[in-house]
Amino acid sequence: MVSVSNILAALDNGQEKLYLKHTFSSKKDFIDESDLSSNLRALPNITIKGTVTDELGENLPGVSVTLKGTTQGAFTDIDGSYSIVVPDSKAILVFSFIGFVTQEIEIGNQTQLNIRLKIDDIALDEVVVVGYSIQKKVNLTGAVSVISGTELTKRPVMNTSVALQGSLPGVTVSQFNGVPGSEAQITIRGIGTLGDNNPLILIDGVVARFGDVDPNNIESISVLKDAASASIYGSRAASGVILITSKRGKSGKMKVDYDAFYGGQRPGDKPVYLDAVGFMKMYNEALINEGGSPRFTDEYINGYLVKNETDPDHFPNVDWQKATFTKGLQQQHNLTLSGGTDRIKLLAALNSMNQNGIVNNSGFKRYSLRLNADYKASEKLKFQFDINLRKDNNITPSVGYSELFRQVYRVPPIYAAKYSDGSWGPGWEGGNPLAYSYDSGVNNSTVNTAFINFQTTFTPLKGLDINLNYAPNFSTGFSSNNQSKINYFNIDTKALLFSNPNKPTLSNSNSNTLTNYLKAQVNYAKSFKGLDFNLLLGAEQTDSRNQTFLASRELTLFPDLLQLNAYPALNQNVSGDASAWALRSLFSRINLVASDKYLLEINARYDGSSRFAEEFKRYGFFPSFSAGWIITKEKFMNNFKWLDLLKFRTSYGELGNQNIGNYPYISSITLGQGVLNNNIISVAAQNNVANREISWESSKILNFGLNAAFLANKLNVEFDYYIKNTDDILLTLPIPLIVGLSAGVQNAGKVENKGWDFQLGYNDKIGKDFKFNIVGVLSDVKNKVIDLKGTGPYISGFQITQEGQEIGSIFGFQANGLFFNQAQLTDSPKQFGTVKLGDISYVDQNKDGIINAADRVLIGSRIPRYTYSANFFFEYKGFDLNLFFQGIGKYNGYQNQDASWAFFNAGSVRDIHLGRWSTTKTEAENLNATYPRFFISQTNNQQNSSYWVTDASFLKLKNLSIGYTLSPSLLKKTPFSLFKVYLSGQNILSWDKMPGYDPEAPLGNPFNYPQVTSYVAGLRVSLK
Amino acid sequence: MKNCHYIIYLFLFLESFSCDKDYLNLYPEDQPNTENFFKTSDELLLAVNAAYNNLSFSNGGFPIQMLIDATSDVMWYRPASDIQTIGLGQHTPGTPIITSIWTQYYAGIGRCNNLLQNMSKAKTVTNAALYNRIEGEARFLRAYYYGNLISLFGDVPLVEKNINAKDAFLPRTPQTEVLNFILRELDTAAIKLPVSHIGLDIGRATKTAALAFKARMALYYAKWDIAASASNEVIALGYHSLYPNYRNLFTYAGENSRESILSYDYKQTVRVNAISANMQARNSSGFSGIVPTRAAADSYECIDGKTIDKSPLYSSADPFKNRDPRMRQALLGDGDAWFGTGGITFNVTFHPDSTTCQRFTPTPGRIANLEVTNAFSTYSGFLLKKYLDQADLVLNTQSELGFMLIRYAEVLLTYAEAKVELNQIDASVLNAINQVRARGYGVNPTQTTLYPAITTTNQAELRSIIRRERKVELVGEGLRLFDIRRWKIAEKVMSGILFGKSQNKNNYYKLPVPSLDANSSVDYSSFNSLLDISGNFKIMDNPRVFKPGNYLWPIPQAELDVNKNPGFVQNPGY
Repeated sequence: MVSVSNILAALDNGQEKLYLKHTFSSKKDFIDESDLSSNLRALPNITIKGTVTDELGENLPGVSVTLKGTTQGAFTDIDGSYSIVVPDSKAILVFSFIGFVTQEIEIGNQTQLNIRLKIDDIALDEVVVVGYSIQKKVNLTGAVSVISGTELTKRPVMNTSVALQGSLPGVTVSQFNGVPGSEAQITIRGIGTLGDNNPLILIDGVVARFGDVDPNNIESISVLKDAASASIYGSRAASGVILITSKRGKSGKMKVDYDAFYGGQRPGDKPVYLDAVGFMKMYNEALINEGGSPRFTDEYINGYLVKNETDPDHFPNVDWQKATFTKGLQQQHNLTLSGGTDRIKLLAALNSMNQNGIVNNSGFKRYSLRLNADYKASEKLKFQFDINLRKDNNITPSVGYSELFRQVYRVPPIYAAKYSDGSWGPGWEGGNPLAYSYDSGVNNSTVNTAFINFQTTFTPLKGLDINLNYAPNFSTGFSSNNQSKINYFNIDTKALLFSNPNKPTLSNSNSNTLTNYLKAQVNYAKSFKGLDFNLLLGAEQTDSRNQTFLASRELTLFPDLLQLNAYPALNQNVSGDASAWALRSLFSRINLVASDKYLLEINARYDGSSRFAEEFKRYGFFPSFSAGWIITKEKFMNNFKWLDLLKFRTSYGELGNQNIGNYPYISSITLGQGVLNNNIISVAAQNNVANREISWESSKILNFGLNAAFLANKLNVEFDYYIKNTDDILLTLPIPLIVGLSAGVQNAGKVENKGWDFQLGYNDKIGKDFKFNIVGVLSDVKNKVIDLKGTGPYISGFQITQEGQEIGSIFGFQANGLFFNQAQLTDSPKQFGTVKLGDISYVDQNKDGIINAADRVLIGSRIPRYTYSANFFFEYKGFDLNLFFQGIGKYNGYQNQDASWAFFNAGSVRDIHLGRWSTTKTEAENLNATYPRFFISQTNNQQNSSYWVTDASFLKLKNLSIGYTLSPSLLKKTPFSLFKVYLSGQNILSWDKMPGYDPEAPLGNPFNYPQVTSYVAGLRVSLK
Repeated sequence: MKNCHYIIYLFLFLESFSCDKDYLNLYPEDQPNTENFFKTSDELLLAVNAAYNNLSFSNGGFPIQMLIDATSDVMWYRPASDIQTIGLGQHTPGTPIITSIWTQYYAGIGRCNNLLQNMSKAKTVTNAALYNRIEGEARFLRAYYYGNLISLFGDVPLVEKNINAKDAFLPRTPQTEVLNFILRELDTAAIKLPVSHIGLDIGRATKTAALAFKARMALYYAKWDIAASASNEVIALGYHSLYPNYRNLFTYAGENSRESILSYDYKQTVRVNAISANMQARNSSGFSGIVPTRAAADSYECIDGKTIDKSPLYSSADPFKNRDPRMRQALLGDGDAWFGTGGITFNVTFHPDSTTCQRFTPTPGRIANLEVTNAFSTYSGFLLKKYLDQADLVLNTQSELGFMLIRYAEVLLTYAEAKVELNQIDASVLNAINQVRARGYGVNPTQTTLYPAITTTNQAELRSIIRRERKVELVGEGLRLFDIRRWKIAEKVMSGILFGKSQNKNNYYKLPVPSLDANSSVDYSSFNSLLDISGNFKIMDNPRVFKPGNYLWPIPQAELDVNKNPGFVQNPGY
């Protein structure tokens, strides 16, 4: 045991700083004798001082300076200066700092040692997070794309999924709408299945969702795209795997970082509607086209706008978008504290985000607290303990976004939104989006999540790590939906006209989910002569159980009281349910690296899932193999000095998908209710066909790739070609309706995706101050349904899936323009209903003289081709500029109903409809008609046809950010070590061919929350 | 100390990984499954109960039967919809409502098949009478679904057992074969079912329901003797009778009366209809979604028993005057006192002249006449009163008023029609018709001075009377489409412009009187000459087209897309 006198002696020698660091500060109540005695033996006699700077001469605070071979060390302070005592002149100091090349200096006889650290942009030694482990990037044989947290936060966005957009090759991030708090949809390497194409997302090794981590707290994201990298996740990896690693505390002085932004949003692309006069004229035209009489007299129309000024209540002229949309203010704050000692490292992050929607009563708030702790009990035993607490709160108007926006885009301008006395106008028979957004009540849902991740790693021998991991994830949600009654009054008599809905209801629902994750894993690494060997073996199990409870009551007399007890018990309703699933798995990996240039990797996973019947295929085996060759390490490549790296990779393996509901193999009897006489009766019926032999979908991916670096690593290229065949796709193949049951899923389909991903990065500087970084990404994928077991085609509305074609191709009649003259009409095959001039003419594919289902053909594609993006980053003397472009080269949209038809469902009429065929136009004008003749209700033009297929390719300026960072010299007398201000805009410009609608959400009806353009101003500071 | 850590965590992990064999054995926690079902009598009951749910379904708040009436000449559905499309003759095999109806009935058949095939599993534990009754209910419901299917689609695959998807690529079974199956099944059901139920079982299928539906099917397919004898059995059983008040029969007061033979019922929290919201007058918070056509209104006789083209009592200026009281009891027309929103009674005014109308209660005065100011008030100038109850005025989307699928008046008219077609015209025939007519007048059939009783025994005249009688008595109840199909009068009544109310203030009451033919079909060709006068008419459908192929609906495309059996072909004309 160490005596107190020894400690005091050490203190007397003036080494208290160093000494304390390694004893009292990192231990609770005991001192390890061996540690201490080694320190005592090395009692120093030379003091070394100096400053550490980067290549530009800026001081670097927080650099670790250690005495090689010991645990002694120090950190540079805010000025980059340090002081360390070493035993003798042979001592070697190690200067290390994340992002910089570590330097080792033998001190010799120097006492002043100023070091300039080189930025580690070569990144050859960079490690990448892969499944259950990390690997040197240079030794990767799979197709893994990586983005760092620093890159992610260059664009201030509200959520992680959006931040990923366009950042990685082969990763398609689609943002269909601007709903506050909503995550974008991510697909990796195209659509592999007709079902769930969502990649598996893990945060620090545990399955999670994007929302579980704030972009500011991310250290890196790895996307595992091929079978070699993903198959270790077996039955859940078929759509790719995204590994998110959160930031952890680093030893050193405590860092305090604060980042915040504030801004507003507006709808991105707005359709333009005709005003009241335009609407009435066109409506009359439509009525006359149908053989009816005009509804509005010329006199009425002509005097309308004048009367509108004096009497808007009876002569409304409403721009529903203008009336309903509000400024959606948004803000985000992130405070991160991190630091620690060699033994204990902590990172605490506090995040709050608040995003209002673009209509009243809509918004999303998130508060999260993350605490990542590392505790090194000894060199052999380490612990990680992470807690992430989160509260998500989502508010929407009770009527729901789809109904609200449907009415915004539907209600003609001649119906009042709000009367002059302050009461609601009726809108479209009580469909008043403005009233909805204020008075339809609020759906308020809150989810509280506690995500705990506990890991311990035991290293009994060098190279052998035993890792145990327990991660429970508990979430509890409560949602309160108050559908209140909106009253509409007669503006003249003030009498109540009607209420909508006529029955106010309050429903509360509660949902709890507990997911347990448990893992045991062994890693063994060993190097023989020139051969690095790495073995990983593991077992894990996950189970999840969700319970829900719902209760509702109706017809309150106290609409302001939002608790069930304030409602009468008559007709109250309760329901409850629970569901669960579980997975139990074994996995392993062998890595071999020979002579640093020949790479081989074998992965295997064995998965058992509760989702499949025990007597059939409950267990699945998912192997993969990959190999690589770093050709630049060969001697014969020494002459190619301009080529820094060239690596060829290939891989093949199998993955699975089990996301098909929790009990697909069980034929359930659904319980329900019916009514006989005036009594409620219980009913029970089988509604769906089940298939006991249901099993995994399996994907086999063959991948060829290369990585190259040129010009002193300034230019980096990554290319992958792949063939992904998915078999046994779980399909709900239509079955004859006469069976009387809904179809169940079958392992029936086979889909092939062939594609390539390409990424190019260029990093350079001009002069001393101008730095730039360009990253371009381009991918393509072709999709083909190979086999549907002879069934199909599988038609759903205007989409078809059939053998030999793409999934979900657009299907309908081939339109042949409009009928322009009587001869065309006479020669026309029989179409739908009474067809007149100005109606759409269809091609009679089978020449049987009648247009019917047999004439439908493929008319468009729903698989985006040539997705590309380019990011430009420039930095000059504290100023930085980031430009991010993203686009899709070839893509079809299909717009029908409210999205593109005038007067659809008694709706309004848009500017683009003025290009219609019309009897009021000349023949020459009609030849250039861009829209059929108007009608209120008619079937011919509303058939699914190529007339409504749009070119949805686009190029968008997704982000523009300008920042200014104050130079450190200006900060000397401030408490800040970093002070940056920035302005940033999202979805700024779009070049596309779909006026009024966002090409990223080009399908069907626009009953959607629109895509938003947002602008924010932000501040990023770090405290000294 | 250090070893402590290892031991604790090792313990925790071994504990959690302990080989629990059932870790992956998880089952739905809120529902039984097919393997362990049909084991108790309660489960048989639950299963047969489920088969009742397919009797109807809601579309736009209306039970589907009411919408089917709107594809005929007596009713019209305003919202641009599949129903309007069918009325226009523009429906296709892809028309969704047609697929929904097909799916709904076959789902009901599947439920019955499943029960009938598996119920023996619970035979030993089920009371024999109950077992029989459940079997009878299932057989009745299955026959009912097939009856609707063949009447709408013609030949349909006859599925009598649970079938796998693999075995379901069947050809269409000839309509007559399915009909024979239906009649046979109804005979069996009639034996197994009681004449009436008590307590909580009221509302289940009865012997009379089986016989009444058998009579309807036989009538539809001209099996006159079967129709006559089955309907006569219902009459002879004496359980059913006409409800004294025709108007109230379709309100809560008349719900589940002895007149009702089978109904589709509603209850809040399970299912409701929104007939009140979607059919009511504008001043009663309604949308006038379904409206009766002029053809319905003009079919009512005058109180002298003559049609409007023959009776001197008819005045186009006051169309409700001197008319069969059922007109006012079933139709809401200009000048009717009616209940409105906010506890008022008001004077319904469709005439385009007045932007205000009279309020009677609570205080006399004038209120805005939304029928004139709202663009979407009734297009025809009439509204249907059936199934509109004042109690539903406030919660007008939450009505619990049951919809009658079979009622006694239809049975009487079936009997009369079958006997007339057999040319067995006797007092029982006249009595059957006169019972229905007298009830409309609120009198006893014997009080022949108080209503125009039928006395003729001329077959042609009676045929004409019965066709008219069915049209007006049963308007809005979902039977008219089948009548115009089997009488082969659809080409006539479903073609041409569907004229709505007059738009012309001066001409409103000065229209020509249309004539009625031997089928009691109303001819509006005299209106065509007035078309040139701009704004004369609300044009409701222009034009309706009915081609010979339209006597059947098309087989849904979704079924054709899947079933490649060469014997499974589309109906001609689609």
